[in-house]
Amino acid sequence: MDFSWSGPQSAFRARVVDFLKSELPDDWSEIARHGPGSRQQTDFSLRFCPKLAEAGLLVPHWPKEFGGEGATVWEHFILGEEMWAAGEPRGPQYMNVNWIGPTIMRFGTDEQKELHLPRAAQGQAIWCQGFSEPSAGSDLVSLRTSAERDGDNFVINGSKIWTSYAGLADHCFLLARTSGKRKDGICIFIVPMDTPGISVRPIPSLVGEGDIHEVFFNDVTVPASAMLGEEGKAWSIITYSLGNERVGIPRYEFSRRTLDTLVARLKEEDRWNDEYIRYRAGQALCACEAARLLVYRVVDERSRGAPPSAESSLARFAVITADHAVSNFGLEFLPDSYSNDDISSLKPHHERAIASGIASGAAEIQLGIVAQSYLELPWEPRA
Amino acid sequence: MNFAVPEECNALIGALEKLLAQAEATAQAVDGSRSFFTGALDAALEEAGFLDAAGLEEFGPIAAAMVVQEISSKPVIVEAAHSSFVRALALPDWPRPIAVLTGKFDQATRFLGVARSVVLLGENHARACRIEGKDTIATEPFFAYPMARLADPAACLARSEVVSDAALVRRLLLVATACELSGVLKGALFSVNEYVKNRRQFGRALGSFQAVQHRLAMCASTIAAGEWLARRAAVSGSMEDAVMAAGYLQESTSRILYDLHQFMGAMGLTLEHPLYRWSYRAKLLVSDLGGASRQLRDVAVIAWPETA
Repeated sequence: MDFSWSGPQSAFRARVVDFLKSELPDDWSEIARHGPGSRQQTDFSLRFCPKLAEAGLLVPHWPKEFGGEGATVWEHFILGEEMWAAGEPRGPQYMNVNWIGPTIMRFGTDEQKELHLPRAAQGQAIWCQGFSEPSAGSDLVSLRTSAERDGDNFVINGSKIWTSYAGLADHCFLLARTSGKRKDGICIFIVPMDTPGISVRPIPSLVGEGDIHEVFFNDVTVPASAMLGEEGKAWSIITYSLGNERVGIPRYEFSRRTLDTLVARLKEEDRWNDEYIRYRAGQALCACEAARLLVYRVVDERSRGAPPSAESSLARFAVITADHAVSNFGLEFLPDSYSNDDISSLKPHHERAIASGIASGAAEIQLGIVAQSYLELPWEPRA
Repeated sequence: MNFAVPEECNALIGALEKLLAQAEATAQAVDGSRSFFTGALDAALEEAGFLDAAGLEEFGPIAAAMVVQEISSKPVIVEAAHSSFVRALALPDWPRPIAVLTGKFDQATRFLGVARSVVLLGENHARACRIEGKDTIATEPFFAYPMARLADPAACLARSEVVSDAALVRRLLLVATACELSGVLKGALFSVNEYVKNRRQFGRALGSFQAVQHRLAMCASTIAAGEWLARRAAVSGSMEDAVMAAGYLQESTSRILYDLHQFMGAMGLTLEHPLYRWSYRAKLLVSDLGGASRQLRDVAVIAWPETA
């Protein structure tokens, strides 16, 4: 057992850090103040990600045939840590490289791979994820958006909600129902967002501009070739995708670096001698490191090819706890810095922290998975 | 990074599980004692060498961490943590069981009544003293451990000898506490988990209520993190990791124990059910070496030193 980084892992991290030092512009911290789904961050990602791709650092973990370098699972994760520590300059494109691309690689047709993977690997694709609906949030199986067969096409009707990045996305990874069978009636469609019949309404929110939307599908016609995977087999694909997504984001690293920033400001204000502040900083630090170790354990299992397990939900809950511990620490001891916006990473961190227990599978859903799969507690009978 | 348990450790833990299962099968019925010491098992563990793993090249500190966590997760009380870390790595020639005293060396401490050596941890040095006939006075049981204090701390101090640098022993004690506390909390969690699976109220298992499930799941996430923080501290040898592991677990303990006792109901108040064997050890371990408040302040100072 070894809790330190190997030589090649450290070298890879140094490569990422060097790239960020040389390529992140001076005004990045200003751009990062806007939400990850904002026009500013999206446009920035379309300039920054191609440079990352050119340096071999956008999709290094993808197989070489799809533009990657065949980097290890750990190297992929180190890349994510450094990107998140820098405020995630990939903007919405982190989704493409973490789970949308790998899902298309595994389940897509040759045509879909050819159409979508090169653009994602070159840093030119913006996707949104059409999962949640007004009546199907955490209970995803209850989704109602329909896709009816019409000859060689499907006609999609319904609506999605809380859809991140939809305002500027060029494609949607859409879940829709082709039959009434619960899990077995759900299919995935890759839908161009400029298809007639799609309309998007931004939802003003606490989590950053341009981040969440409603998306309406009104007789949206897509060819049958837009379906990803076999009809009725979407649930196993979704499980695979969410398994990649749930621990794919090293949020604790952003929290940890934000905590460093908060402590630095408290030192500047000559408040670091306060024993209670130190105690609370220690609490928040422990929460970050607890999350880190549980996430690393999942990454380690993944690196050995182990199937996804409830361990990822244990880790997700710890990550949420860490996000909140750091945000609460900042709000308690440096509230003026939130009001005055005089530390550039604070508001973005806070916005991500308040969303982290909601997005990508709510915290309470993770606890339910832990209860049933890790603790093996009995199901609550349905009403 | 490599979280895989080495083959040798797996074999060691497999053998330990067998010994613990045997001890459980032959254990005497609960006699209503609030504190106790599983002396025969303690001797068997020593004889088989399980408590020496940290100092052996083929095993090392990770094996010691897993041994302590495994033993502590069972409803037995043996002196495993101090021996596995402090004795194995700082005073290997001293007889065990080992008790530890800090401050003025006049407080009651666990295992002192059954110990053959006591470590007196001062500011700069760790001293050790062999325990003789009338050195200790047993105290009224409150915690599940056997507790005693020194009859004459000054006399014991006068007989003692310096055995190690205080910083090393303090770090090893923090790791020992973290490993023991993570094992104790895990044992308590799974004991309560088993209970709520089987105990039926309102026509269904208690464990099927979401309110119960989610709080136990929160406990599980915290305990799993503590378990790995303790292992990292054992392996890395870093003081920052040691104070972090101990502080994180000590800080989390009261919330976890509240939930576990809540879900066990009145049964958890009895000496028939073994929950107290874990919870009343945890209630003592939270104060070790200054408790969470000291560890969390210390970890902050190490992570963000004044001069940085």
